Amino acid sequence: MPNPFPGFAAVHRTADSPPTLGIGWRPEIALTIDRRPHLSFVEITAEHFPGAHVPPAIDRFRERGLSIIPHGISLSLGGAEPIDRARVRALAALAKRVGAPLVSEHIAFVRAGGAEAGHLLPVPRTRAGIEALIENVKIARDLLLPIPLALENISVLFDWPGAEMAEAEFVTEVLERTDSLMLLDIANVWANAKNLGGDPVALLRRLPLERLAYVHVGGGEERDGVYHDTHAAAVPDGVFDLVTELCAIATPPGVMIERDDAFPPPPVLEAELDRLAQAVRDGSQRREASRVA
Amino acid sequence: MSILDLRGPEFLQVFLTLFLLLTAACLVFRWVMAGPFDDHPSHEPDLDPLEVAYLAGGAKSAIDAAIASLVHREVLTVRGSAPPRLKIAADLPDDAAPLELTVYASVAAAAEQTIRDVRKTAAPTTPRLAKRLEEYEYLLDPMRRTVCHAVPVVTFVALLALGFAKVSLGWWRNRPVAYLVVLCIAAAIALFAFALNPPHRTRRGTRFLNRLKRDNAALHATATTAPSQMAYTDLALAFALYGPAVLSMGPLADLNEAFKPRSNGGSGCGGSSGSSCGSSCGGGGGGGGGGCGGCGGD
Repeated sequence: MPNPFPGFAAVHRTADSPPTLGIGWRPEIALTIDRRPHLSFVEITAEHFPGAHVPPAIDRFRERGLSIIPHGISLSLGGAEPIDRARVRALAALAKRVGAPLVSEHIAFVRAGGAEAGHLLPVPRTRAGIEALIENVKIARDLLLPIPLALENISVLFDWPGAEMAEAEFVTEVLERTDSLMLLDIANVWANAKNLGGDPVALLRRLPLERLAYVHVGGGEERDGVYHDTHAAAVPDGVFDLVTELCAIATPPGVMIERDDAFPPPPVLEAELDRLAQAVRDGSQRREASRVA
Repeated sequence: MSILDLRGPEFLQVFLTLFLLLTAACLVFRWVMAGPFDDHPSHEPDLDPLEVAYLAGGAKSAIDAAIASLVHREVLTVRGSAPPRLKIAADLPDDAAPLELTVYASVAAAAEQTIRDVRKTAAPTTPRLAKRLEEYEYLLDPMRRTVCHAVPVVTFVALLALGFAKVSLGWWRNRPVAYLVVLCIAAAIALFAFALNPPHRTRRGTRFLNRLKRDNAALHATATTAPSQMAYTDLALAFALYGPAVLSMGPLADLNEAFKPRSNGGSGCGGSSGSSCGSSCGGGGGGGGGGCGGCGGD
């Protein structure tokens, strides 16, 4: 698989190559991240750094050769209203400030009619929904040029009624018509299958994995029979297994852990990163073995 | 004819010129005296946090870093507010540094102790922290420190004496002296700036300290948001490098309040706790902290 974007971590080409690991930067775990060897990239939440002012701790990563990827959470690309261009320009400014190889955002909306949802909400999988999304993504993409944009699938607790297409087809059409990269949130794929049903591996096979930029992995909690992707708990075994399944199909250029709250002691976080690396290796080895066979 | 016999406007010109020249000369003097300027020819030392604190701000910083470390380890607690006092909360761990032992003993001797009294008791034991720093020439030796401090102070005392003498003469002769008084105030400010900023580090020491601050920026971010994630040595190093501003959470916030100079009875102690919201939200990034005093920072 060719590297879709030069400047990001090199795609590892054999099953024995070390996985390209990253993590979401939070000040609470800055020390753990700073001391972790063999990290290739960190992701920063763009809205946490207004005015593109980043702390020295993040600049240090550039000195060490790590890539820094700004991840937006407020563009509301899936909204019926045109996106706020000032927000996109702010994201672009931050990307330029940190020398980012790409930026990422969500296939979701967060506001409508002047009201903020405070959460990422699913876009109706209808023709009208997809056209509005594509129009906003193209605006954002053009304002961000030449920095590539990756779009992330979200976890949902419900599906809008009247869906006209399946999730895989929806995501594929958005990515192909906007020529965007894909930020595949494996934990969200797993969570949606758990909450709404479906075969997560089958979904992975129907996604345009050649557009894969990097992968999110995170933990969550089950409450009243519903799984919530909180990023405030350990990554479930099922998510690691799904990472292995993905890597048995395709090689992600990068994989990372997301942790936003209830930060564990450093050894626990380190162990989670190690397990993620192993899950990638296991999948890659299976793929190599099946290629040889 | 003496300088005091000059007419007012001429004296003002001379005084202003002297003030500017002497200010520049004293700054250059302190800069030149603060050598060596290069990095140490062999490897840089692996200093412990209390040595770094001493390098940053002398005995006071080192003692405060030891106190912060002991509070973080829950060996000491902060009680009360007028003024706040340190109190023993647990036994001293076996791996305590000698200065931590001294601080602990000072608090234990009186059941409760103010920070000022702990500093007074512990200060005589801190010079041992300077040993390696002096070997690597990160600190000025006592002779150079004295000369570096005294020369600008004496210079500006002499300049002020000249100015006051002319002000007195002019006032006695019923001449206008307002402009000269303003220049004397400026000279007094310069005098206090030199007097209250005694030299401490060499240029080499300041460059080393700045490098440590840059290389340990992650310490600042975690110390100000989740100190519970940090080992006590890391917290002590964060304090040494970035000062009391890193003490912002829980019991450490009480200590930060206690470190603040008291005005009139002090205020209550309050901890602050940061929190992150759920999915895709988190705390913001922290900025760099300030440094401590010293001679001619980089």
